[in-house]
Amino acid sequence: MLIQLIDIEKYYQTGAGKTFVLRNINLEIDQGEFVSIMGPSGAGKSTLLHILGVLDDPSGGSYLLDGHEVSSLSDKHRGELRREMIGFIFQAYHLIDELTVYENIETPLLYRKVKSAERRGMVSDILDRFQIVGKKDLFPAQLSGGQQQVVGVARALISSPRLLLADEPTGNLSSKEGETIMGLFKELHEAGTTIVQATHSEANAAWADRVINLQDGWIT
Amino acid sequence: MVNRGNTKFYEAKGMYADSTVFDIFSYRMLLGDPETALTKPNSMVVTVSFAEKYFGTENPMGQSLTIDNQEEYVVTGLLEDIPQNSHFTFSFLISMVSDKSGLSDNWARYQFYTYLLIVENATPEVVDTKFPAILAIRIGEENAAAVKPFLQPLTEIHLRSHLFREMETNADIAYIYAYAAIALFIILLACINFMNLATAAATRRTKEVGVRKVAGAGRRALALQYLGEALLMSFMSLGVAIVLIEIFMPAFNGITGKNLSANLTDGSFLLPALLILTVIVGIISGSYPALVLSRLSPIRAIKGESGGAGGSSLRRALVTFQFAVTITLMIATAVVFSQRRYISAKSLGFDKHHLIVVPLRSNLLKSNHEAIKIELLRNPNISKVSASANMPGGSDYGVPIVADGLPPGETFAIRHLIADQNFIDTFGMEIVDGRELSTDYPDDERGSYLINEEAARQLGWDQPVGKSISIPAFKREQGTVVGVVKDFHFRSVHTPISPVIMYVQPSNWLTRISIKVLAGNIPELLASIEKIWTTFDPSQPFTYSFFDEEYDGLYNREKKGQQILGYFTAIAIFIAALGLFGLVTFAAETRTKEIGIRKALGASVSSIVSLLSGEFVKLVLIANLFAWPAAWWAINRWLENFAYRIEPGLGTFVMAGLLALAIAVITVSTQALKAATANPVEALRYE
Repeated sequence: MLIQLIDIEKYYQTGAGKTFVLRNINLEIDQGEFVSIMGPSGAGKSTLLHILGVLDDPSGGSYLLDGHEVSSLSDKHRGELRREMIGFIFQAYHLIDELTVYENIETPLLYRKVKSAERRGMVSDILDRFQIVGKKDLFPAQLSGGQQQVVGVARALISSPRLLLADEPTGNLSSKEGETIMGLFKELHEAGTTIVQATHSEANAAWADRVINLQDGWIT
Repeated sequence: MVNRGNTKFYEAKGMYADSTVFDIFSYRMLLGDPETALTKPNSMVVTVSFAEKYFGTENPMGQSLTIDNQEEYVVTGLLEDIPQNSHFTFSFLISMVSDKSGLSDNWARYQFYTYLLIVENATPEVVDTKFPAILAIRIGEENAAAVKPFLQPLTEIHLRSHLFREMETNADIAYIYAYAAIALFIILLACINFMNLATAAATRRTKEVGVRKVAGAGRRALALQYLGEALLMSFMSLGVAIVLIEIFMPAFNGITGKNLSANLTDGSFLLPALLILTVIVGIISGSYPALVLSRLSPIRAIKGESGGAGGSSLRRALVTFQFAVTITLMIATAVVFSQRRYISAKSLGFDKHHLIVVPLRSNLLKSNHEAIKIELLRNPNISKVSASANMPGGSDYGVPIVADGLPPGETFAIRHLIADQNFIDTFGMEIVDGRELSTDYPDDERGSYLINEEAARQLGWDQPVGKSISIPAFKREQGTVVGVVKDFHFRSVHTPISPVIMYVQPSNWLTRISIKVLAGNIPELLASIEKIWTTFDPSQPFTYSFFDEEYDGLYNREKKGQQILGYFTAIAIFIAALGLFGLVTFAAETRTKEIGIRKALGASVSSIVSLLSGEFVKLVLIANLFAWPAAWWAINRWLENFAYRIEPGLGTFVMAGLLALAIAVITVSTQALKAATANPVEALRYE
């Protein structure tokens, strides 16, 4: 089992008391599974993904990633986990505006301290694979939304993560662009990558093996 | 000493003056007639504070005072106190006709200072050409040929004249220029902060600019608006500055030993100059932000997009400049500090510590100096005592000597240290050849000399002991060198060690007794010394000084310079760090999203900190390239003032560079760390 969530809670302390975002989440995801998390806006999908991606801490409960309790890890180890194990795709792409397509994709490798020659090879491969070689010297602002998301996906996959987390990856894309991305996910899934995606769309959710519904912070 | 009955004080500031002194100088006479006040013998003109000291509220006119227990003088005029910034100051003037020395008419002696008021349109250089002829009549052509009199404009003397025996201790225009330049640089540093932060923050105002442009504002109107804001800020700062000047002026005067005041309402140049400076500062600071902001395209601006990276390269250049100035100042401060430490640690050739100097003011004290010395030595806390006419760091007698080996008719210029036989011992000097002067040799009183190594060197004497010397000016016709003193700094280390001759003169030459004391209760010791003094001459008030303090006074200018430079440097560091802090805060703010993304991709805290800091650190390193040559030039100019000086090594430069780097890193990394440890989720929330 890759992911095990036990009684995960997330709340914010407000003037009136606690505002809950996630309540009592118990979830297990196996290595190689493709899971969709569905639910309306504000249901807590993004927060759940952030917790899964070790970007945010739960307020209560226990999160075991590959058998390790995440809450006991230091900042340094969390960074290491994100670097070595997890790929993240955002709805708003979140490319770095000042870097070219090539440099954006290369960034995770820099943090993994991959050697320069090796990096060049890896980035070239992935540019090839996503057919964006011609765009490698462009800046994010010069690309369409779909193209930017392809770069985002390429960046998430460059370090061959075991776990790919996608937060509404097609949210800002046309349906055709969306389908391309979903096709990519399918391929990755078949190659053995564990994928967790949050989505609004029934159609996209259906690409997964399993769909989990989230409503007001509860799994329904 | 001036006294009126039992009221008596030592007055250092009394002078002889011609009756015409009031035609030349614009002193304000409150009582008396300037035309006649100084025409008669034994008349004196006094200042208000001097008069109050002796006469209280009484009318001083017609009252008399005794000077040096001898002559009586009648007050014939009352002057307003002489302003501190006058060419020279005094507390009383005595009519020149009272002078009985006969020197006032002697053109061959330079006891007096002569001031000429030349007619309008006259050329000083032309006037200069008339002097030789006049002198030839007065002192004979042969003597006149050796003298080259010239005129100096009065207003130029204080800052630009460095002649021997100036009327007052002069200042040096070079220091004024240096301080003004540093002050200008500091203003510039602050202007740069304003420019940098205003353009950086401008990206936050882009929406405002867009809306204004859409509403029809032209580029000109916008530029004027931002310029106006900068000017307003500048004038508000002027207000704050005036308050700060008032608050800090006493402290500043304390450091500099000056008596400056910033009077803005007296119609001087100060207020207009400040206003002009304020406008210039406002324009410099405001022009660039005004240009950048008004240039934004309305569509991009309203979307909140900034003008792009164009501004940031200028910002980088400006930060580099700031740090270059700061590092230069740091190097300069370090060098001034090391040079001063070098001076004070440098072996002077004598021991200046634990010496109390008490003046021998009256003939009674002078003639009893041997008895006084014996009395002093009874005190177990006093180890050595010496009476002398002068001492290192003070004046000497500029008369040449005749010595063995010199061509007939030629003389040798040398400094004279006239002291009793105990001087060498009391001042801890070292004899390297022969013996010191001693009371065991009766001849030593009239016919024996000590010279220093430098004198022997310059005279070309390999075996100085036994050589003969005479000093015709002092009627010492024949004498022998009996010993050689190890070289010592008779003057400050600004000048090379000069030849010195030491010998004994009759007791009426003596002016002071130097007392070597053991560590102990100084006030008690002073009280016992005073008791001895008053037993010998109760008419003289007792005064004393510590020799090391007096001698260190030779380096007052450097000491003050170091303090002022230190403060300037601290301010510069503070301003530069403040600017950097603002910029990195801003950079962290605009790059929040990027930092969040990088963290999501696995970036460590240290890599984020170095990402944000690295750029600024690079700038500080580049700043060294500009700072080092500038500092090198400046410190070498300054060190040229010293005959004995340090050789500033690369270490000083590297240290200053490292210190600046450390300051920059600390400033930048606090903010960078804050940004790097922030929760990435905050940054990644959808817009």
